[in-house]
Amino acid sequence: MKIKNGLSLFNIIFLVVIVLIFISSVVGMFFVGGYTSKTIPLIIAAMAVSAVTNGIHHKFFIKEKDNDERNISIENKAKAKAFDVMQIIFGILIIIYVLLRANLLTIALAVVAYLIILAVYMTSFSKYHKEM
Amino acid sequence: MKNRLEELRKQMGIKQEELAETLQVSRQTIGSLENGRYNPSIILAFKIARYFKMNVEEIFIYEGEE
Repeated sequence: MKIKNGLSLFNIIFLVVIVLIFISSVVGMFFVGGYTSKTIPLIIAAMAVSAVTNGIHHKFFIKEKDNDERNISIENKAKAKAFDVMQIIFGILIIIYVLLRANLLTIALAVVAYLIILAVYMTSFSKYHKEM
Repeated sequence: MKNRLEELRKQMGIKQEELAETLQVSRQTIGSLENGRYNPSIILAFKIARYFKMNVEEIFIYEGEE
């Protein structure tokens, strides 16, 4: 996947948002809180934010996709493998939550996330089934 | 699937990079095709055949399921 040479307006806005999040988290962690019991949840939250923004960036902001068919095929295969593994991991995660007797909201959110992913899989499957 | 891509390319005296640029793929794709590690899509197969002014069957040799 190539990254564009020129920066578009959206990319600049995106970079500014990232820098702001970064600066605020640095200020929050080192100047306000120091090391507290909230440091690890903050790091996890930062990782989650970066995962979400990275996903959005790849989906909507990178317009110039790779047009080499081998690279596309490799990427699709890798994604398919990751999806297969993710299904198992999600299942295990929910089982662990149940065994740990996590509160119902946590379990429900994990189940809903799992179901959303499965719903996307099924709708895409049926869409491509009709198209091809 | 076997193919005669390397042989034909060398006969024409062109580099992998040049062929890749003409076919709008990466050099690695040409390398993988020549080694037989990757089977091209039917569109790429026809592009290659058209480039060498041959039929697809003359370049790619299908020997049944491996």
